[in-house]
Amino acid sequence: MSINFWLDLLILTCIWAGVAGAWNLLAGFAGQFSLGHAAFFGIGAYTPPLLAQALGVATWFGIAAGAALAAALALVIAGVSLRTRWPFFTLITIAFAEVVRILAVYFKGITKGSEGLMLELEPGFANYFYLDKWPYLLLAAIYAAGVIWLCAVIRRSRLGFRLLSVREDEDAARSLGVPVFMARANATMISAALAAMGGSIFGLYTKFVDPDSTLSFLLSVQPALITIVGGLGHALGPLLGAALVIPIEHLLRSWFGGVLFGLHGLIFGLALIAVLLVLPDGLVGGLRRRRGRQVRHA
Amino acid sequence: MLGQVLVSGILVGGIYALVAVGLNIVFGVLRIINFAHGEYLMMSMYGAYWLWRMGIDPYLAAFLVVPAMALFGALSERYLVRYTLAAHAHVKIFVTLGLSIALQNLALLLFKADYLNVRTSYQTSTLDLAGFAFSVPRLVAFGALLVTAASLYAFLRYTDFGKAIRATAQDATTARLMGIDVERVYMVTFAIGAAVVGVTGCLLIPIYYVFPTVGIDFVVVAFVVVVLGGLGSIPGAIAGGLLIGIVEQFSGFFVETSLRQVVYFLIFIAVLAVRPAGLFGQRGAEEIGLK
Repeated sequence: MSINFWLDLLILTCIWAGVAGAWNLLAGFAGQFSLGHAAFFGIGAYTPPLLAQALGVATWFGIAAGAALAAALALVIAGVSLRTRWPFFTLITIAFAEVVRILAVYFKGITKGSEGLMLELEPGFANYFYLDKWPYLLLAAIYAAGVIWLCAVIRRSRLGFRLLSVREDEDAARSLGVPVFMARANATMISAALAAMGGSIFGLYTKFVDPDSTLSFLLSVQPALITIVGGLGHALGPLLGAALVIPIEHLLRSWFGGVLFGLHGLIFGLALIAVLLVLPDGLVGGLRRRRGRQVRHA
Repeated sequence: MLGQVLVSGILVGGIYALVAVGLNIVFGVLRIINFAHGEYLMMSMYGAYWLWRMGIDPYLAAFLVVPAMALFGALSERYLVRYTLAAHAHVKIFVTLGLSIALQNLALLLFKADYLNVRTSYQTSTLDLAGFAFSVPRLVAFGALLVTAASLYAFLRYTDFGKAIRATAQDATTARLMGIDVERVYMVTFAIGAAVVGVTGCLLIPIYYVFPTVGIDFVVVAFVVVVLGGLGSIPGAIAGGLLIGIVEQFSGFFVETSLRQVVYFLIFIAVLAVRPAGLFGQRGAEEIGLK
């Protein structure tokens, strides 16, 4: 296998570790299980090339704009789901992500619809557009490290404690004066903005953005799967999960993808069930239990 | 013309209602969202399709598909869902999601991604009533909805086991104290949910193609219907299904077919924001036992 294969694997692992970290911030800390992160990821992927084509602005500006747009959508989602508890929050996020996906397919004039968008930007640092894979590994690694660091910081901050209290008992938290909506909305917005940045890097790296590869429902499942395998609510969980899930997924796809279409998805689904039933705390929880330490949630 | 749109909306809504009834009864009693519900529909449709290939009419195939699906439902509760009931919220959501992904890909592996459909003599025939055209298979499906829903309603209302199911839905702990075998109630409820979707699959195959991800199209609508109609309410699921069917057909007529889903997702979001218990659900039902 060539160096490019391994580079590809590392870049995707880093990107997904970051996106899963963003998901974990909301699900693991605040107990809000989103199945709509594909919307944020897709907004992040589409915004830089669309802005570059329309206004000719540099990619960095597009990434920031994508993150801001995703955060704005997250604020709407948080507002709408204010009165609902977990299963409904999940359903609302699915509905929002579907709306975004359908609109992206529908507005062909802007997004090229299901045909997809080829990224053709001026090479160089301003657009972070390179033919080589190395610069993307650097960017993806910085992104993953940044997300994990931010999650660890937030976990120990006032916001982190508020989120945990909301997760454990929302009514009790409210009665003690925790601003529940503010905490939830902040977590949703930060999570969305971070996921959008991951989407931007993914789009720049693959140089092709279409609804299937950036907005599909399975992309909303992906960060959840990675986090659950790694350890829900642990800052390092998403990294461990991505380091395990992405290579396995890649290998399964390259072994069976061409011949036995569907086999890797079947294994994927069964593995998810097995991990949930055997190791509900994920790898991090399992490792801690092994060492005889008490498993604390987060 | 508008009358015809209304008629087809009601008939489409009948199918959505049937899918939603099965989802809703499981949701109401076990308090879990069965993400694999759409795949149960997909399995039923493949079952009816293969029986048709062997020379059995899809409507007669129901007599084989429905018991098979009931058995599969009971088994998936007994050997999978049961272990999640006392677990964390994320386990509840993602175990059935894992089952859904596994079943979809199993179908892809076995049957490829081809769109398959059956050919029957009645498939394209229509009935003219009061100046409106009624598609025969859709009319049959609608009739079956009424029969299924009425018998399920009567079962829950008047039989002892139906009462046990309703008691468990209200409060599982108290039901257990009253001597109800709650585990058995859960298993039978899951079997009923899968059986109803088995009926739906046989009725749907003369109308719609079957392919590995066909369940997603219907189950997403069923979520909307369940929320709209209210948790655990059979009349609510029917009213919600018909409403979504009508809205879908009218928005396809007035706006654009490819945007019809957006319309009902927006309704869904609006209902959850304003009245989370659904239009017909009991207030506060969305919070019972969900923690």
